[in-house]
Amino acid sequence: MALLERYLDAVGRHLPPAEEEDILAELRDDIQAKYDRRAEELGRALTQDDEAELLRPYGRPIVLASRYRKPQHLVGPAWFPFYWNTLKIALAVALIVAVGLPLVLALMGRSPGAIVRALFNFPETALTVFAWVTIVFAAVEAFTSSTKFRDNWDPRSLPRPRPAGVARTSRFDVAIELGVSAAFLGWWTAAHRSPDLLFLPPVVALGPWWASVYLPLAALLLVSIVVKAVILVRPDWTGFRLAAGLLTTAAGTAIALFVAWSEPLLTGSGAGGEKLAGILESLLRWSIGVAVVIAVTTTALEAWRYLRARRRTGQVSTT
Amino acid sequence: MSRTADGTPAPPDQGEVFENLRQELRRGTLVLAVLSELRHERYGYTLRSRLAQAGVELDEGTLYPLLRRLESQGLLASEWREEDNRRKRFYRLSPAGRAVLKQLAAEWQSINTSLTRML
Repeated sequence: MALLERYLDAVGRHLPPAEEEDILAELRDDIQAKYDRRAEELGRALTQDDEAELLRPYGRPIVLASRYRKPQHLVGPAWFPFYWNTLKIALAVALIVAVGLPLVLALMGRSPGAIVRALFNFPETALTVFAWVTIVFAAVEAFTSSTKFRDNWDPRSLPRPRPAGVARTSRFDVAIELGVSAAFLGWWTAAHRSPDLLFLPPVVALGPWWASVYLPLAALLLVSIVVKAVILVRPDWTGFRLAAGLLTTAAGTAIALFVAWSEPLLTGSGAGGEKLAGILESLLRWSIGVAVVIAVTTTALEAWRYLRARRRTGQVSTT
Repeated sequence: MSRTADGTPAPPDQGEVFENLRQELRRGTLVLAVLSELRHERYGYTLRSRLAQAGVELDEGTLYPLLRRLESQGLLASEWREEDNRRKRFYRLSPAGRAVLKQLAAEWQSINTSLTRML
């Protein structure tokens, strides 16, 4: 009997309090009936070994108690594919944002220890992301009907197949781009407040264009992040991806041209500073020029391929 | 995944695969068996004895949670009563349970007929 009391006590610790008494009374009756029958068979009182033999099939107390609790999972099979996909994307973005920015700083020779710290801190960040994504999906699981969700699916809402020749949008690539944009926006904003983060030599400073370009570029980066987030959710919106790409490239080109035409790009203090500013300014103008040519060519090529593929499959008149 | 000496994936343990599939198959029929036996009022111990006599074995930790779930779904009704100097909880089908049992039994007959033709 001593083991029975210990077993019931252990089960009770894991039961919902409102039902504990009722469940344990029923369980006690069931086990007691078995005890009585076994004692009758043996013709003597049960030993502790006899009790253990009869209790073992009921299983560990926590496992038995868990069967009385309704939800046995946080995220069920209906939501799990969406949960898993979201988790992978969120972790990829977190990795890029948490490690990418310190990596850039380390590569530029500033805060070389930052990348090590970021790598050590990433497990904590990843756990936080994991916890929040799980909490959100557990709430969705608890408050929505997965049956309705399954039944509401309409095959007519499936995306159109990509025109032949148009590359499939890789969610992973988009997640990386999103992370890089977010990290760049973070750096850009931080550099606006603290120009030390521009990593210019002490004798060189930015020209007056800097103040006018901060807001447009920050806005463009923000739009770009939103666009990438949309593409992450709907990678099949190829038209949207290209249109957004054209617009952001056009805006980026306008900003780059404004910078390229600004005089002076950099100012130097002292004779050495002026010379250094001149060299850096040439480099900067060339870099801007090359970046603009690459961005415009890539976007134009992608748009041309897309339009050509759609013309071939006769889909030009549709969206 | 375990692999054989030549690097190909090892075949699954057929005994384990069969046991998992067997349990899966039987699990789906438990509700039908329990509802069927509860057309007459019974308490847990006698219900399990009846099921065992009929060849339906249940783990000790499975029956009572299942009974509670079916009761919370409105398919069973229960009451505590004293019998043989001991308080017992007696279960029986509710009207909703009778209707569901009828539907499930028809479904079972249909599956059984189809599978018998196939096997």
